[in-house]
Amino acid sequence: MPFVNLESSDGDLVKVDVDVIKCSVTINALIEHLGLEDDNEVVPLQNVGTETLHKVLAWAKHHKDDLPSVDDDEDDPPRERRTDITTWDANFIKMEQIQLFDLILAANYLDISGLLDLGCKIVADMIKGKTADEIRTMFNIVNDLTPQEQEQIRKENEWCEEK
Amino acid sequence: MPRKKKSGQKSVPTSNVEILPTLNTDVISSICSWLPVPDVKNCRLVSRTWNVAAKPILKQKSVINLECSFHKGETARNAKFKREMASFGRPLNHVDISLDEFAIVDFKSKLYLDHVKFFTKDLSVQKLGISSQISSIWMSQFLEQILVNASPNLVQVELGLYVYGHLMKGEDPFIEFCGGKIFATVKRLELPFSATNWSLGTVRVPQILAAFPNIEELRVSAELLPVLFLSKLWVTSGMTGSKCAALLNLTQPLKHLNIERAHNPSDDEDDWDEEVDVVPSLYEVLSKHRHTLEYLDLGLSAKCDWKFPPFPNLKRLNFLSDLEGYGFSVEFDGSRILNYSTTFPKLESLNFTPWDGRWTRCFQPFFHANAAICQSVKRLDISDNFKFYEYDNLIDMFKAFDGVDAKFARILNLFPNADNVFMQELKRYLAKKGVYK
Repeated sequence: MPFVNLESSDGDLVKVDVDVIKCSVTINALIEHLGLEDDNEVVPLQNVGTETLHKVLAWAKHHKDDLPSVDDDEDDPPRERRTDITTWDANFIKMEQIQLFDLILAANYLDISGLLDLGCKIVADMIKGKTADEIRTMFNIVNDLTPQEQEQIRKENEWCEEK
Repeated sequence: MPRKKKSGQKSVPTSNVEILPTLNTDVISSICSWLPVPDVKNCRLVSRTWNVAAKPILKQKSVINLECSFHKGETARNAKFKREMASFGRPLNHVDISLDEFAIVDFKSKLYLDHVKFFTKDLSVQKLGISSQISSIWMSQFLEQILVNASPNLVQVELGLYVYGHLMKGEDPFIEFCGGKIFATVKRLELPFSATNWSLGTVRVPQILAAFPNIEELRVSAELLPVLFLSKLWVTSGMTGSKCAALLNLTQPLKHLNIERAHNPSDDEDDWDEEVDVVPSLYEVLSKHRHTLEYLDLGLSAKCDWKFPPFPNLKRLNFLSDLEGYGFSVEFDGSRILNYSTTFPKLESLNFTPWDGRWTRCFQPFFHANAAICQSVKRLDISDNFKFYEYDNLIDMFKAFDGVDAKFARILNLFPNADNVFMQELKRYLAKKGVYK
């Protein structure tokens, strides 16, 4: 079975079964593009730290036999966030906010939709019902919108109704 | 969860929180896609980056509802919308327009013109919902105008229309759905009206469907299903070549087709340039449905050389031709002489109307002197709805016309099994005249 060496941003090398990491569109494309001559090929991942990379690989290993997900109809009612998260995923995703953000960014960079969805569902759950100010405080975001811009957004928002 | 209840412009990280990595717009958009509309709206107010990420999600998830009642206040509403939504980004994702059935309109008023401009020029939409109870012909025209103008960006259309038949005073709305325009970009069509909806349900649905040839998804009430797959299509107005060609988009096989008038626009009409010849177009339509067609009603212009394919299952042919047929001819499967047993092997009924009492040119191809006898036709009628009522019986009419001559004996010889009133009377009249038997 072919392997690929992934190099984290901390400089650590991790040898991975290609079959496990095939969920990453980014790495898949890289492998196809470069062509894997031998097992010593190194793929550098500048945006993924060692700790996060291990989390990503743990998730990928658990889900390696999953069937590819079907595209959802955007008009379908939003799925119940909690119910469609498996127990394994729920336990897996229990982590500090900073690690969760790192994981989401890694999933986005590596283009692993299943993992990105999982992380985003968790963050969406944290946001739900909160005001903009509460969201800023929770995620330590600086408000760089001018009062005029905020007013404009509020006006636009008023025209938009729930389907 | 570490949270700091501080309502200032700046949030200072609390001591137990490390600096969080910054989420990019892709990720924020993904997060927002899991949130309901009110939360997405809040996300837009978090920061510039969050606004950039959340705005497209809000567009996608929300709908803009616009009433159209032609009330004075709506002019201000339209202006407010244009002002406030100028930077929301075009095209808009989803707009629902509901037209007030009781709207009374002065077509010359500034109010009306402002509305027409607003709804047809200022809005650019990907998903358009239109709902209205149609009680007047201008409403259907106004709505068609909105649709046609929105067409460049449309991917989804919902037509929640209901026609008040008793208020229409004989006028027929959507007589030719959007002037035969094809909405090629629309992928999803929703027709949330029922089959009992006068005019729309029973007659227009195939026509409306033909205007959306590329839909991948159709949403209709179960009640409409019999109509959808009902195989009768009646086209009431002039069918030129391009409109015939549009009929080819109809996927259901037709059992009954009625085209009241197929013709080419006359030479002096402006739209000739873009027109295609109606003869090959109609031939293609007839060929496509020739195996399933059982009833065919055709009004053919006298100025063309028509072509017919064979119809193995046709039972009834109604021929509605122009009377003054100076250029008229028909070719049946390549032959000028109609052989009923090959072209119309199952034909039972053949009707010609209108009739001015003489041997008209359109009879020639159907009753050719050298044609083989047709056994299948049980009923043959040549009639005129208006003239007939002036006479007590057909014989009186034949007498008055004085155009029923020896040529008509061909008809009696050609259809030995046709024994309806017209044929009986014709036989008696011609026998009396001494030109038959």
